[in-house]
Amino acid sequence: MLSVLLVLPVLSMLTIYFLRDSRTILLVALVYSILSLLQTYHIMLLFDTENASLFQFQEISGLIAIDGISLWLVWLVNMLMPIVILSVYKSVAGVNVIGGESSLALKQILILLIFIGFWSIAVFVVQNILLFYISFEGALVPMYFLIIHYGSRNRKVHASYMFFIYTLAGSLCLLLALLGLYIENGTGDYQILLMNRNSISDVTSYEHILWIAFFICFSIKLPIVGFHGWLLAAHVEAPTSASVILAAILLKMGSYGLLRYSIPLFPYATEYFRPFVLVICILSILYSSIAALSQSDMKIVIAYSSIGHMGTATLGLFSNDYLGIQGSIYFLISHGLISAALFLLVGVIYDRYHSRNILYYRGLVQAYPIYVLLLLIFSMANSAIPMSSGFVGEFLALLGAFNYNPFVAIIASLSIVLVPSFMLKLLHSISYGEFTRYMPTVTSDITYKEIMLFLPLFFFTFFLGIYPQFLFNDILEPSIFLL
Amino acid sequence: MAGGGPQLLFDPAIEKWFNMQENTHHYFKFNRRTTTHVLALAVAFPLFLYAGASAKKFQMKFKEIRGAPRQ
Repeated sequence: MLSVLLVLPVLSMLTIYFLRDSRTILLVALVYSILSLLQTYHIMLLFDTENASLFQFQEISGLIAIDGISLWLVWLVNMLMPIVILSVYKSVAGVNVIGGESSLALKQILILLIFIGFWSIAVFVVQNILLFYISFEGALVPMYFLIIHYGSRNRKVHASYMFFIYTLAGSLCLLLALLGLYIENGTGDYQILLMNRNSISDVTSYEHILWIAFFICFSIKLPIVGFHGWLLAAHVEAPTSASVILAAILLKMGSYGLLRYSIPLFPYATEYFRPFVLVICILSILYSSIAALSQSDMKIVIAYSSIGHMGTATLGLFSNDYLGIQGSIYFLISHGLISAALFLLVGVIYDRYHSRNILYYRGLVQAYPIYVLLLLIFSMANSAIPMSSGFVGEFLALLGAFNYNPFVAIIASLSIVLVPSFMLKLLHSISYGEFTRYMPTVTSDITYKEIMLFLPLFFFTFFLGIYPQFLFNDILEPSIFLL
Repeated sequence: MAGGGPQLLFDPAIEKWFNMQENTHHYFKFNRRTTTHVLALAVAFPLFLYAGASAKKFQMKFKEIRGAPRQ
């Protein structure tokens, strides 16, 4: 049942490899991704809500299993894959990208994206800590190739190396800590490590060292301010589909690692370092928002927004409060939907004019009213307006932080002002005013096919904002309670 | 895309500004102004936040403050 979610991407990649026609390649990739999504819904229906706090659907000798938290993150991955696949087809089909046939380019990009999706699902379902490490690292290689081959400028080489080596360096710390845990416990099984965590806590300095090693790796992946350089370079140089996957899915791996491994396995170290983490989260929120105000590249603005939002999510996670953790998980899923939409919107304008420079665009509402409407909607959702899913997550995360320490929450609440400030600045700069003189010719507005990409994101963003109980149901809540 | 579609009129001044902004970290130097900023934003402000985050008096204990719930 659960292993089907891992088998389908592999089958998809193998099938695509042997196909030649672009439309067939797209159809096959789409069918497999939709089958994965349907299987996720099937698992949700079969999920035993009476034992929701336990890992269910254990398969492959207990190597994979899923609980409420993992299930929703897997849902996010499978929900976004069809959208990413369609966005690739829009950008690549019929065009010579690397000098070869467009179907070859499409095949390569789709295989790389599906491979990332495979590793992302694996990260959220594996029950062995070494397999977690392999899955965590597995997504790096296809993303590296996506950036270095399909990036738009010469800087893509630097960006891809920076992304790869930065994340790998952090993962080296994780690997050393994992090896220490493995040698100590004789196994990498997550459930056994959880049962034996008190033996780790017996030696304070040892637990602290392990916690620091885990935190370095996950904080690079999140990323937090100080370790965020790779994200900006990677987002700018990556193609639209890679940016969507990077922001909406890969960043969640860092938060998931903290949630699933750092906090439960090292509770005393977590408590010891809590003030330090809260400070770093606040710095991420404030500094990223202020930096975003001065940027000229649309993708960098949204990348900084991601850094700030990950700071807010981590703040809720480390608030030691049930509501805070609930808000953090909700915020992760919400951010996955909204940031995907924002990067797709940047991709729409970039596909037409090949520039992300804000200074070139002004008064777009006159030529692209529907595009500006979508940009307005998702900018406001990113600013966590009520009725959007971002509001629920951010409110609960800040509430959790307030329940722990009001000083921290009051300063972190400045994000309520800062995030809308740079989002509105971006929106206003490119949408309103006198029409730009740098566009001598104007294309048609966003097409029907492009709008279709945003419909599911729009639906879930506002459905989860109006009816958060859809997420806070018998599937998710017991898992958080156990945490 | 290669060869087709509308083009922007690229402005050399905007391109230069964009490149300068992208590569601003290459031109960073520690002078009086930047050192003050670094000390304030990377040392003083985080220490201030840490003092507040770790202070016991800021850690709320609502149940003790609020008292027992009404029956």
